[in-house]
Amino acid sequence: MQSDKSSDERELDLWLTQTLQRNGDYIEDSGFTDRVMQRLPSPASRRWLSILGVLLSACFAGVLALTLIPAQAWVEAVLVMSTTHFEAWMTFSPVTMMLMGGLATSVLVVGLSVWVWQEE
Amino acid sequence: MSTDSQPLSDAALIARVMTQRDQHAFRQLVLRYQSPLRRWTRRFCGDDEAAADDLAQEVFIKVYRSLHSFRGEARFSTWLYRIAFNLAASQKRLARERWTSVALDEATPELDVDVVLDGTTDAHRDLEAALARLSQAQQWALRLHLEEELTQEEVAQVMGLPLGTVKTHLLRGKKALRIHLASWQEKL
Repeated sequence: MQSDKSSDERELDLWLTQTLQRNGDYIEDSGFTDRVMQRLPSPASRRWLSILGVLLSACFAGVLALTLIPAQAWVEAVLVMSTTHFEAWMTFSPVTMMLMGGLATSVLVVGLSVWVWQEE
Repeated sequence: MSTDSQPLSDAALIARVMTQRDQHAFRQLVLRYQSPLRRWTRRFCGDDEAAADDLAQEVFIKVYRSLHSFRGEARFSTWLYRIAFNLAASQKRLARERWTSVALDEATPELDVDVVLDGTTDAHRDLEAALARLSQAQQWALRLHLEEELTQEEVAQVMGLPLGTVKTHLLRGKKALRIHLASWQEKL
């Protein structure tokens, strides 16, 4: 009885399998694989190179700023950035303001590099 | 450097991707599985082939990103389907709870006169029509088990369900198909 049932079950399984697989036509690639490969994240080594490039540029800009801008302007910039008074921001020299812009850009560049790395 | 004409196994290709960052090896994997996966995503997306291909692309990209977590305990195809299932479920917001519970009304499907098949039409079309009347869980369990030839354990892994639940889905699905396809069965 049990074996009859099992055989019947097997027969149904076989029929279902064959019938389902009969329509399992091969789907031509037609550029699908190329599209997938184009969307893959770039290899880690290449990512490191691009992020290293961004960081080196930021460092170079920082060194230039340190050598070209007087130390007093740096102190002023730090003081301005630590204050919340808008009036104080307006009283500083254009060099200080540029320096603050440079610092903010550096932070942004580093942040973006980290974000790009994590996203990829 | 191998010049064999024998295609590399999935495991060998994965090892190449992992150790040598060999994108060509990953390309081979995509070429090998694009057809079954796209056929599978097309079922999820109905007739929308563009949406199905987008989903299949997402699956392969997710596979590439997660390859480090593939430990080789399951077949690559099982793992691939598992990722596809999860992505499709989250995209279509399929409620996993609907699959985990086995509702009583799934046990004995109603027999609709319109779908009692006369045996003169194409078997595959009739089987598809009969499958469409089953619950989603039963359909996917049957397709994965019979069409993709995954074991019951692998189906459970792919669908993220306990083995017992998968067995129940398969049993009840077949029982329902037996009723819907009575005329075909006589021909067996």
